[in-house]
Amino acid sequence: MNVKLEKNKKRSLMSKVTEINPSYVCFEIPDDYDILVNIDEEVKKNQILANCSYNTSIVSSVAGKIVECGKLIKIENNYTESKELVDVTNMNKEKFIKLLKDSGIVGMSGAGFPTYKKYDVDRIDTLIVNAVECEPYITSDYTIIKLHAKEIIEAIEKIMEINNIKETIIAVEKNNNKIKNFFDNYTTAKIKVKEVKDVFSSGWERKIIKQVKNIEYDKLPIEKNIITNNVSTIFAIKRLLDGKRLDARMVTITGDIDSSNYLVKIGTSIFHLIKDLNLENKDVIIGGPMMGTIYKDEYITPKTNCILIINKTKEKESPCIRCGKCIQICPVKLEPVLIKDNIDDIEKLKNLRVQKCMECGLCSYICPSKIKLRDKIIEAKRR
Amino acid sequence: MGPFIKSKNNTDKMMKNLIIALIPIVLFSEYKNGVIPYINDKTDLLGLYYPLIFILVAMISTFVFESLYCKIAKIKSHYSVITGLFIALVLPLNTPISILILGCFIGIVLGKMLYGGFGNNIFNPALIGCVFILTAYSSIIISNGGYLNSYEVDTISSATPLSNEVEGIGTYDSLVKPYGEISNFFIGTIPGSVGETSALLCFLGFIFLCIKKVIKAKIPIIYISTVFVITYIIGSMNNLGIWYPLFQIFSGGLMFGAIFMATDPVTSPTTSLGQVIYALCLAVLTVIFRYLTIYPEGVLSSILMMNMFVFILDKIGLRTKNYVKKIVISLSIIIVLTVPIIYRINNSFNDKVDTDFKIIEKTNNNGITKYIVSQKGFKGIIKVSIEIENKKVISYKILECSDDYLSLVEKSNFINDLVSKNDKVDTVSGATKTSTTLKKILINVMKEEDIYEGKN
Repeated sequence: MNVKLEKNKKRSLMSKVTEINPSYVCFEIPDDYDILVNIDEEVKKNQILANCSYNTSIVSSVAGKIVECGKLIKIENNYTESKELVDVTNMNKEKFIKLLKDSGIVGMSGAGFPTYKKYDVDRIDTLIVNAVECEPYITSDYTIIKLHAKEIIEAIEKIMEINNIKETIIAVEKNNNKIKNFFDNYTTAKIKVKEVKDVFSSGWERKIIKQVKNIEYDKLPIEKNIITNNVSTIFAIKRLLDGKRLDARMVTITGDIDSSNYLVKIGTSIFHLIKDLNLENKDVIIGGPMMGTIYKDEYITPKTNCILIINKTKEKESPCIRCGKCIQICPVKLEPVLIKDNIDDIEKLKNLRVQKCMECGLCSYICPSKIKLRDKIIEAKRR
Repeated sequence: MGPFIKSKNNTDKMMKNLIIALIPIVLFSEYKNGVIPYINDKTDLLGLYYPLIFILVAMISTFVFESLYCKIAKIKSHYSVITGLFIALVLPLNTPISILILGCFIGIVLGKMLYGGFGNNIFNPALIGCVFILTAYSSIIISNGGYLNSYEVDTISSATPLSNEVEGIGTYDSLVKPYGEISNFFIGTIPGSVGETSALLCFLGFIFLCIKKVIKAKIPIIYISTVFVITYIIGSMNNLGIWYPLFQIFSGGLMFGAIFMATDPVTSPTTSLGQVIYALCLAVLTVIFRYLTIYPEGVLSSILMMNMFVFILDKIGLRTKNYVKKIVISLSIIIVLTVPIIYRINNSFNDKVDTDFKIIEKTNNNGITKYIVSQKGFKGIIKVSIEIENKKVISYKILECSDDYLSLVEKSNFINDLVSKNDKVDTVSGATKTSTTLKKILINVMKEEDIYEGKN
């Protein structure tokens, strides 16, 4: 069974993109990162702030003075643009991966998987560009395609050349406001656009590959020599190939308010973005309405694609009527209702393959008794 | 935690849609059991509204019992009226009100609340109430008029269509003719319980519920079509036409039970494969109940029986690695088991020699042949003396019979009809089994004398 969600994309679809360049930016530094800067140091835009042997570096998105340095690096913006560019001459695969690692680019659709790791393999046959954006409300990928379709294709051509990739498929959602047409003039024999069903969870890696290539894999798509990149990630790579590291991303601010897309510096305080809005009786959600999380004083990261502000709903849970809708809808083919029933029995939970859950939230969405099945399954996963 | 948008569907809406789907059935029942008898002067003003009153009483009493229980046990009450509505629709209209209320009590308390209330019950509470009444008080209901309403008592001499089947596979004349045509079964102008008779309205309700995504559509589709296929096979083995499987699916509570009772979300499997196996087992069980037991109806008992296995079926239905294997194995087991059942059913009616029939004495006196014979009846042995003169039955006397319903037979004109019309007489409603046996004795004697003209 598939679900068509109410898209609500029109609200922010046609808006003009506003650039946001805040007075300060903050970066949260995870535990295993080495900090490369000191307090009171003047940093340039694009300078690497911290790095990690097995993860993408953290890059400053503005130029300015470091006023806080520790778990959190805070930089006061002096609004200067450095002309210094990253060296992109004599590009080969090794250099490309090294550049990606130092650029701060991660999967920008919300998963945040370090992009350089995807390319750090011997053989890639197919690149699938994920432009599906199946979560309701969000239009950030759409906006990037609308504005930069040509550049995206150029970037794809370069990536294919560097990595010896044979073909690229751009996956877009059917009926998503004629998104396919933006690519009309640019497709070639090697770069094709394919449409996938306009249902929720279509944008999930596994489902895209199943739909466009009819291939299934066990853990990672690279098993079948396929990699996937979000279209925003591709655009970030495009900027990198022009010599600029990741400094900003497209963020949709939408919901039951005036909706629009913003080009926001990474590290911008979300509070700064929403402080002028009337938030009475509203929930602030970081990410889409299905998989997003409640806002708790955070900063824009490379994976923040949406800030959703919607009216609070109060729906009471009622007893499970065992209608089986959650089982029908689960894209991973789990049995949410049985997981809920056996939440205390670890042996049974293993049998029910709890770990496979990708937390898409469809079970909670569809439940007529409004049981918070996703929360229950996340709880079960931890056991 | 998210998701922060939820589907607009909720349990309240689902239950409301369920009631909406049942409204035409309630209205039709009122028309068939209230309006028609009233127009034909068979009942008074109370009788005109009696079907509605009957249903309302059940709904109110389940509501009262559940509310009281919830107050004492301090738990929340959910959708109690639906249980009452179902109990009323599945019972015959001639159920005394006091027994109806008792059934509602049993259904709510034993069937639902003792398990912990809505969502925790193993058995369909309405079915618990109904089956309790139908097994414990069937004689009272039958002496009250059984499944016939006041109009049908005069126009239709037989009981429910399925009860005619007890004497064998049946023929068009014995099964369908007494009620008109097969289309009457589809529309619902046949005797039966309050709500089950109209296959058409059940079907419309099914479509409505499917559009509104309220019920597990797989269950009724597979259930009904499997019964259709099995009875089609049995029918064609006996050279009966397409009317026979249609008769089987339209009569009794099959349509109603499959669509409204077997799909009760709480007591049916949640997994897809579980639902398929559940529906197939229901179909096979219903066929077994109808053909191989003395109970002509089989739907309610089959559903109640399968409710017990829902837990296991859900375990089988898990979509684990060997899912395809599980589908193949479970379906082939069911098919392999069904074949001998069909064979057995077909054979059970083709036995030419009636082993229960015994000739105790045969005397010939002045051209009058007198038989004293015995045959196994509903309860114990029935002994009868029959006199035949000039190849004609001239007297039929019951010497010994321990059946409870004999009085009903004696009250009716059945014995006299047997003598005058021989086997072309209809069974007595309420004492189907007894009258059928009495008829069978006559046929056996006639066969012995070689004067029987009917088919087997």
